[in-house]
Amino acid sequence: MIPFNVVFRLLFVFVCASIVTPIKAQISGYQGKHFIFKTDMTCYALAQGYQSELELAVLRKVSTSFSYRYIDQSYALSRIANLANIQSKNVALMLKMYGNGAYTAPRGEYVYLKYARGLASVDFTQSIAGGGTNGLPPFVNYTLSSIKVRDVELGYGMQYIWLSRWCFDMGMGLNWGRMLDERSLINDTVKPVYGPNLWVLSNRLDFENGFGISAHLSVGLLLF
Amino acid sequence: MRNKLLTVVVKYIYVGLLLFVVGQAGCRGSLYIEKSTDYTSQAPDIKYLVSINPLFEIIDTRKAIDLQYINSENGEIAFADLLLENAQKKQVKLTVIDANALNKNDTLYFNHLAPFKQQIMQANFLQHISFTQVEMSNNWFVDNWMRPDSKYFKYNPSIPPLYSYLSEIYGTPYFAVQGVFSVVEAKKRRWLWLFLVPPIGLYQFIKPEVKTYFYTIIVNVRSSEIIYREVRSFNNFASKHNLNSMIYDSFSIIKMSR
Repeated sequence: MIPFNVVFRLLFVFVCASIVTPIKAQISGYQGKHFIFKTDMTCYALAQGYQSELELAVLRKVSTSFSYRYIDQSYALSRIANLANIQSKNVALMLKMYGNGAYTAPRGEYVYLKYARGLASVDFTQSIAGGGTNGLPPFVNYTLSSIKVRDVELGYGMQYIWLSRWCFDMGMGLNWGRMLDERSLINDTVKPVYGPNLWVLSNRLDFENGFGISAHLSVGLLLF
Repeated sequence: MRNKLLTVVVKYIYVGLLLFVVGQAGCRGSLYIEKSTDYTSQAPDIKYLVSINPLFEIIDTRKAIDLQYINSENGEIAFADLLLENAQKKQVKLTVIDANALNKNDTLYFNHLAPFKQQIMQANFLQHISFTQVEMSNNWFVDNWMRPDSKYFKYNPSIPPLYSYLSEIYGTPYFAVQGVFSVVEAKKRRWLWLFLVPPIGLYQFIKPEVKTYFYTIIVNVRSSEIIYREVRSFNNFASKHNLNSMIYDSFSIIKMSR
């Protein structure tokens, strides 16, 4: 697999190249409008968090977006049947490639590649062998903070613009989430669940890091 | 238990909504552009364009009478307005010659513009043109990512030179034939939608299969040549909302000088 940093650098170079290349008179956007400000509703519904995103149509079939996301999500840790709570803040860079020839970006179906990096803190409980007897507590609470996190997501979506102003963006993709922390406490418990917000598959597939299906459902405004 | 149920419901609704929006948004489409090799040098001169009787036709094969006259006529008026609005946004002065708004004394249209339009359509369909490679700029990125895919005529399709006098009458050598053509059919395998996503698939069950085409042909009457033509197709209704951004983009490309 391509290292995360390489993906980020490639994305960054592509976005910069797109923006610095002469743009005038080449990109029509949506009736001349290129910027969309939106928020992802799934963050509220699935993870008690929030997300803000600014999307810019940079080429006829390409747009890029920058976003900030905060989530506070609880996970059931299947192996020990306890709960973990992950709070994470990250910034993401997303590249969208639109497939429709009749419409130009930012409208239509697209495939996207997203790279996010940020920090997370984790609260979780772990049961103790023989806990609850001999004066031992049944669980121990752990809190780990300032864990570096990285996400890469590849998926398919659809952006629809209604009444020339309102934007609806839906997408679904495969998400790889990584926690860059070597402490063994979270190796088999929290690490495999971090990342996907819809279906976590890494537990079933016995993956070391988070892997699964993520989705977004964003609502926003077409600005200018 | 309640949270788990809620999450499952949210996931189900989400997947259903995604299918619904993708299905109804008509997100598949294509764009074909063909133009003369020196088009980019002519583009700045296209400040004034005459559109000859823009056509708007809806064919609904589900009904006994295929051609929807009333819808088509209302759509034709709305289409002409969209052309004017978007041309203005791109600094193109557009005159729309609407055959429905003419009176019987308007001989210029019946004697000259109508046969002229017929000649353009014939030249467009009957002349088989080969294409050539053109290096538009030295910038690969601009050519491949910022411009729409285009083909360049080896020899421009030609029309009879006898219409060159129209440039004197209208004050411009550039004339356009534009139109929208939409075909509505009964959907195939529509029961599948109802079976897969019962509540949300109802829309797909009811919604017909639609294919819409938008085309533009531009002629220079002084050189008696077709210099630009484009066809866009998409699988959605020919509504104002769906056409608006495409017409804007079409005028952007017409005015694209680099």
